[in-house]
Amino acid sequence: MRQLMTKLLSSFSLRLPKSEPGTCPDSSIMIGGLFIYNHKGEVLISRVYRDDIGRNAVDAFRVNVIHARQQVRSPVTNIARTSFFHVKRSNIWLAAVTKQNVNAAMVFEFLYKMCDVMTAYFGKISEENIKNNFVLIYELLDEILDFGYPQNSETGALKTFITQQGIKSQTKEEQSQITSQVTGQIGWRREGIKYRRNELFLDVLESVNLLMSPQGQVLSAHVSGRVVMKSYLSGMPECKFGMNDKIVIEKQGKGTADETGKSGKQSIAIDDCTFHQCVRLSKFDSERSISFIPPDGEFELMRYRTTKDIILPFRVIPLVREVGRTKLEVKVVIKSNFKPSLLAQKIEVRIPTPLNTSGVQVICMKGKAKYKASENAIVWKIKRMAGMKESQISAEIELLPTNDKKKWARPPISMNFEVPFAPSGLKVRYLKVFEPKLNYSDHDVIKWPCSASPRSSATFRDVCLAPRRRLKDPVAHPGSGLACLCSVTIHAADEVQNPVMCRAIAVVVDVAGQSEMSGVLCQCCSSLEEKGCSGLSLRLQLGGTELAGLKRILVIFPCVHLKRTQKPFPLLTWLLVVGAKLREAATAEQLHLAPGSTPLPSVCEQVPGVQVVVIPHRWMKNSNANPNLQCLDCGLKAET
Amino acid sequence: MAQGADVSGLFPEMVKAGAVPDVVQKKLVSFYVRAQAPRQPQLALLAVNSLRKDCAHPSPAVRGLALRTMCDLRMPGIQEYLQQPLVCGLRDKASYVRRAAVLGCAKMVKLQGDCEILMAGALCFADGALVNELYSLLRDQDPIVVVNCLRALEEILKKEGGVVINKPIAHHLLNRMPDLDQWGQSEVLTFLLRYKPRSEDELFDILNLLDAYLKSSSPSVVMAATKLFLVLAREYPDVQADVLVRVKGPLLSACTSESRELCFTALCHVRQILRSLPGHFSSHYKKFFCSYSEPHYIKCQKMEVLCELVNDENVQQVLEELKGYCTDVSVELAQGAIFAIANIARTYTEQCVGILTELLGLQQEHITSAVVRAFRDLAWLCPQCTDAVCQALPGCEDTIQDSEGKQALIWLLGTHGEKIPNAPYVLEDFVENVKSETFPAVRMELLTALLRLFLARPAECQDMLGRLLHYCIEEEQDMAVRDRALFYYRLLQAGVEAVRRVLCSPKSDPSLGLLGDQSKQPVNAWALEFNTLATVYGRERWALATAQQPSLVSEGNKEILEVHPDTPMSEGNKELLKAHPDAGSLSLIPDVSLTAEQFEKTWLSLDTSCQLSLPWCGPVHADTIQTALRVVHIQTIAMSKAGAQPWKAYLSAQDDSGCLFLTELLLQAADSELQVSVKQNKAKPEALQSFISALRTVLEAFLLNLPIKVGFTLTQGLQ
Repeated sequence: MRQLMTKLLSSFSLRLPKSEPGTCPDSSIMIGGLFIYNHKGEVLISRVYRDDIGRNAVDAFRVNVIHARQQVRSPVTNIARTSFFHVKRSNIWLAAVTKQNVNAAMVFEFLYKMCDVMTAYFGKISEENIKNNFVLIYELLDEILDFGYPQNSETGALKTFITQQGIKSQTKEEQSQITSQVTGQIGWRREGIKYRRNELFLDVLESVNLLMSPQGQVLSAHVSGRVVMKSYLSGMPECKFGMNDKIVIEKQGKGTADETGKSGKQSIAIDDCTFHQCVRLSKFDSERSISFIPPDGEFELMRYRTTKDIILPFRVIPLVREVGRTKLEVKVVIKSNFKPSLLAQKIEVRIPTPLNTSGVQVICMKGKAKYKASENAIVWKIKRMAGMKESQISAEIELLPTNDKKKWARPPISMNFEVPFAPSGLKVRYLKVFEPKLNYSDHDVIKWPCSASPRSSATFRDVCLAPRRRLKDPVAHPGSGLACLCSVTIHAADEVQNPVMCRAIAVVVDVAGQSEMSGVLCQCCSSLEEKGCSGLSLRLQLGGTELAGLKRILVIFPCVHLKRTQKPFPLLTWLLVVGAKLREAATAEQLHLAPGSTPLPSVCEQVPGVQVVVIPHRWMKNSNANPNLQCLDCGLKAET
Repeated sequence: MAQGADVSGLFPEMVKAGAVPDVVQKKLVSFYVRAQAPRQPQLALLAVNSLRKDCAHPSPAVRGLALRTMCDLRMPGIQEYLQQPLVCGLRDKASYVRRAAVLGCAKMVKLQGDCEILMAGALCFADGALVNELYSLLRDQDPIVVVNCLRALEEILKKEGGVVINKPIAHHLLNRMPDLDQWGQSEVLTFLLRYKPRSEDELFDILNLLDAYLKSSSPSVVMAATKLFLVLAREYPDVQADVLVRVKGPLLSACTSESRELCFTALCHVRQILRSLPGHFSSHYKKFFCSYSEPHYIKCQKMEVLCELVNDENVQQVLEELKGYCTDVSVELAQGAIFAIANIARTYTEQCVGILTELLGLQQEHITSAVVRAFRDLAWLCPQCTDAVCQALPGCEDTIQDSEGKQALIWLLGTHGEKIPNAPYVLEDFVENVKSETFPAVRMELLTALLRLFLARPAECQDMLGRLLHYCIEEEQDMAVRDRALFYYRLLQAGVEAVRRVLCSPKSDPSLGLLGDQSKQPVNAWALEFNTLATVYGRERWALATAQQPSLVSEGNKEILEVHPDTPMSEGNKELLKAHPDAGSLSLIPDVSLTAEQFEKTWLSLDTSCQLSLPWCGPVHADTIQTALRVVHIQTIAMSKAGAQPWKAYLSAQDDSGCLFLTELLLQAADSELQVSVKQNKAKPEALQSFISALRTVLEAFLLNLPIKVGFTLTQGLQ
């Protein structure tokens, strides 16, 4: 019977009316329903706008995406001809559901907008906040979407008629306000705003995105910045904002030749920029001038992206060394790379630690550092740091032995700070305000830049906790396709023919010419223990073509120390080094050096461009209770 | 309520609570009423009254809310109450109310469509007038009203092909563009796709007007504008190319933006563009390097993009980067990266094979497996790298554990065994462990590979081939493997030459690789799909997702069938049904809700379109017929009891164009003819023919089955 029926079916070719893909350009934004889930997949908010979205859609998303075992495959999921678009905010899932062939970018943008609106109303999007604001969220959902179509979603406009307390009754005046607001030509600003003091604040927020290779080369860097304004101005003010955009400066520079020379360096090339709705785009296109009538309160005036000539305010040089299976030594050096007269503030460096960390001992010269077990990271905070300074932290991480085969993913170190300049080089040249009717009094006139200094915070992302791969990995073997352009060999020997232990950490830093852009090319650390008296070869590999622009190599050996297993060795500032000429194939020259001799000058003379620096141990008392000496830099304890 | 509980019992109280001045409370009640109205249609009418009062409230916020709530009530009969407030709403002086009213029209028409029969005669609110009103509202001064009008018209006129964009409307919309918010702009850009400019000048005027939107702050507007440009300029390839150059910047910044999902969408579109213009983003390849914190799906997309934009200058860096991903902790990502390298290897064979060989040294299970699989494909596609591959292979066999990897390795050993000195010995290990081998596919591969190798190196393989064949024929559980073994055994009996003829197929097919690479799609091939889900899902998956419809329907019906598992039907009938001509163009809609009264009314008002009689003998089995008819989407409205004289049944069905088929079955005496009369509410002779043939097929199927049934009923009666 069943077979018969299927046959029947096939012979009638029962088709529901369907839109043919490709031929019909229906890509409207029609959202059939909106769901909000918590991290367990429980529905917090569900609002269905269209009949074609059934209740089972809620469960389908939970089962197929939230409770799915593997990681999320795609932010767009198609389950039984229904598309689910989801966005995650902390541990809350927001999903928009539709059966139409919609415009994906639009749906995501709408979800972001919805998040923004919710954040503007009740702060962070968290389960608790959502539960506390049920009513408000349903009100909002009703207002910003109707029949699945986005309506007015400007927070400013919404706030006039959705207040958290609820409107009891409205006066005539208020009513007309809504009408004029909603019908007015300028959707983002209502008329008749009055302030006793007219103020305008401006913030430039930039975030630096840096991608470094495991070898420490800067692969790509870009700054994405935002200009955020807070306006408390009466009436309908007309503002004009000017910055050191290259195109504008060049245009103006044509008139006066002097200015071109002066400002040529200071202008920046903006790759692309986008503006708030209020900016007159036509004027920007023709004159490159940014003029606008600002909305009331806080808003984002523009977003921009630059990729050229980015000043990296800090350099982070991380060193990781695995000591056996249960111990990890981490050392991070940060260097400020701006004018000494400037101060960076609120520096926070976050150094991730493995999941099986049992304890951490941290020593830092400056600021405070703490291991936060819940976040699996060492958080190092420095209040203030002047330019061209250097600061370092060293930590000893004890690990629990685990059977877990999974390797630690080595997440990147992240860094947050505020500096009084913009890494992109953006400068605000002027900000003018005209109000034709009110004519602000003199003392009211905008006090930029005196009143609000630009603030920029930047985040380094993906500064690798190098080496991302261990050097033992065969991937890093010479002759493996990597051009080994320079190789440095350390060869240590002890005259007493006793087993020696050397803690040497070598850092090769390139200082590339004028730009002063430098990065860690390579780190290497190893212990001499296994090799015993015969010495140890540390092979540093510098790969890639970036070396072409290299002017000078600086090899730093902090804390070179030899000790016999029995009794401590005096501090030895001897060293060895160095082979290889730049831009030639790998030639590992080995130098056999006796302790105590100082061959450095001669070697360095032989190889121009290579400079060797040896930093001795800096002994310091560990604490009052424990009189043992410990090295500040490498954390080595001196035995008494 | 969010949890789906039924709280409709509280309805009267809630309606009362809605009649207070507090707006927030009104909103909550409105939300409740909307959700519960379909469950309690009678009680919902209570709410309508107070809502109508609210529609005349002095505050526009309340008016808009009431109107919206009323339009959202999904219950039959509401239209009657709706018209007047809607007409007022469309002319309201507050734009807030107008917005709600415009979409309200769409909601009402949708509701009407759902129960069209109900309103068949009583459509008081003339469609034409409504449409005209909406077209005139396109000139409204509020931008959201304008966009809502477009949306509403589109829904109302869906059957006629959607809203018509003529020259005045198009130009009006173009002028209003700057006032719209991003949603509106994107929507209008989509609607403008329908407009075909009359002349070249007009076309370029439009393009100039819209130029600014290619650099809009909202990525979706950028994409919508790009699509419009690509579609409008379909005859000007140079304009298209220029547009793609111009959106490069915005697309790149979307790709590097912090919002993951947008970034994903942008990457999908970048891939689409690259398919036509390889090398379009080549100079920006570093933008597509993955960073640590990105989610898995973005990394995968980026790797695919990287594969596509490789050229002579950047190949070194790209490979370097991909190599880094190969050692990633995530197995999936690592394997993805390896396959990406293998993909590049089709063009830059030497470097890639070097890298892949190096990866083998890591002795990681998943890496080795993926590399060997990549090698197999490479050996097939690029014969020039076979030697390098063969040199790299020894030593892999210990690390590979999974089926896919093993199969690939065995294939390589079998096919290129003469170049790998220890190939027979590796295979020998496999032969020895064949009993503990869990995957039948591996055993199958092993058989073929060993036989191939035997042809190349008979002395070393003869013994183990014998052992393997013996095992596979005597002990093997899997039938496919055993059959294959028997086949090879007999083939060997026919002589080595015969085996050679069968097994020595070509060892590579370089043309395959080239074909895949060189297919450069023209821009016009995907311009219409740009900025839709087809691009995000990928064309194949999207086609699959949209093509699922018929199979879904049949699944639904299977469930019905399972409810009546004892429905009798013999084999012979199936043949008959199968032979029956295809009813082709007719498609009936399932679940037409038609009550008995409506049926009667319509039945009486229509003339009979067709009458026929079928031979019939024996009693009727009402349940069975009903089930069978339901499968083909013919509803039974009423039916006499089995055995009644005369026996009657009334059936209804509706096709996708809204044409209604009403049918009467009449059986005067038990062994006479079945009279069938069909009525139709629209004159469509072709549809009628198809419907009748469908009906006949079902009924005749029962007819032939009757003798058996009679016996069955008789015995039942005796008991």
